[in-house]
Amino acid sequence: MGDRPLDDAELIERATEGDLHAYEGLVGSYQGIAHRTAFLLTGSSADAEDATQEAFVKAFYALPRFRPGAPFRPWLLKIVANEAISRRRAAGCTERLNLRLTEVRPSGDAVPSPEAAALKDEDRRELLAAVGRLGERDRLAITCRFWLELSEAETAEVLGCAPGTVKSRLSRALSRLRAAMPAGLVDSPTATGGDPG
Amino acid sequence: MNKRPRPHPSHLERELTDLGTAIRVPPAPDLVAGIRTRIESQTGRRRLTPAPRLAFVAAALLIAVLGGVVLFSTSAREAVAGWLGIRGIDIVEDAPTPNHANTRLSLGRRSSLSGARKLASFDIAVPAAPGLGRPDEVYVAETAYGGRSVSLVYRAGPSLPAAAGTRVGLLITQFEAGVEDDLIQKVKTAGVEVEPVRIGASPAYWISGNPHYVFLLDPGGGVIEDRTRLAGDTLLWESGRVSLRLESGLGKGRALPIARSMRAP
Repeated sequence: MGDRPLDDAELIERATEGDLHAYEGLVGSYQGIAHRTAFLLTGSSADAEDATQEAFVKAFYALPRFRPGAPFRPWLLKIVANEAISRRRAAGCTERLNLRLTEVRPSGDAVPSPEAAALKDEDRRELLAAVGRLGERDRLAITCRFWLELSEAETAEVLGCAPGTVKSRLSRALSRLRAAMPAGLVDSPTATGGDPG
Repeated sequence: MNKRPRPHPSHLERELTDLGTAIRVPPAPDLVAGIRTRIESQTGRRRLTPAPRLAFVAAALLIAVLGGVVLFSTSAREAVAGWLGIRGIDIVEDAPTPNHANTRLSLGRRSSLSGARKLASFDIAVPAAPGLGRPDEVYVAETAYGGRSVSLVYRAGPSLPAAAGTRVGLLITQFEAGVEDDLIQKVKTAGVEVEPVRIGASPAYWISGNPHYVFLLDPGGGVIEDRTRLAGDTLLWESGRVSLRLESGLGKGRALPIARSMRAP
């Protein structure tokens, strides 16, 4: 604790009073995850940038409604997610998200062979496509929990629902993914994930 | 042989986490300066903190009390909007040009009054004003923050002029705004007037003039665009935990009595 000059609570308090310098501190700390969230939900660099910027502007004006002592990150990410989703809706995007995977690295400590790496890559593509076919709210839950690695409580806040609802939504989404995936990927832990770690 | 997939949540969850690290995300741009500029260019048009807002509240209240029907200046309007305290209602100026062409209303799923009463988490109020009768159509929609909104539609007819290029004569939308700090946000453009009125003990707005956007602002402050409503004259108020919005081409003189006749079972 206390290794930063001002913690979030202090920055939030000052920013709520209109201190833009304090708000810049918050933007600096959270713009990375905010942009990542927006990108994962829009699949577009331009939309992600616009949504992130817009969300921070809206969050600034919404600060008087922020509950003091509450965690800032999920509160902000909820605004970001809404902004990203409504941007996509407004643009009439009905096609699947255009998310891509990083290139397979042919050499690496944890990759036993190029074939295994290629197989892994194929599995990932399948899984990514399956997530892309999920409904908006399910995809948001998956994004929060697994791609942003938020806690269940944080995910609940972003989704605007109770933690129990997150659990059931995730479990439903996972079932759908499982049903949509080749059984080998989801059923057999040794089929693709054999690296000893 | 029936080979049902056995649940291996931990494995699938691991795969998902793993996938997250493999998605190509462009580097985050540095937005600090841009955001500051945006805020600076807007500051002054909006009230930022509760304290100054309170000062404006007093001033606005005074104007409202003394002036009766008052056409507020921009800043006073903003202050009134910030203050009036209809939980969940905010009015903001200086937004993108509204889309006037939206004449197709998508109000949610068609339901019935009794069906909607089962779905809604609040008591749906219906106007008891003479001559209106029961709504012709009832719709239930999911709000972005997880609640439901209910829309009562009265078709245009001899005594109900059609509003804003639709065949709807009267649209009353209600939704729970009491859970947290939900907001309706109406973004005005030039030519929109806001007049404070009262519905029973509740403060209300009569918003008239050019079409304006309607926004829902969820409890976290995130804005969800809502372009699906009529964009004519609007009356906004709250009743208990429910915010209500009445849109029509009826004019204030007829809209107010309808709003005042709203009764929940």
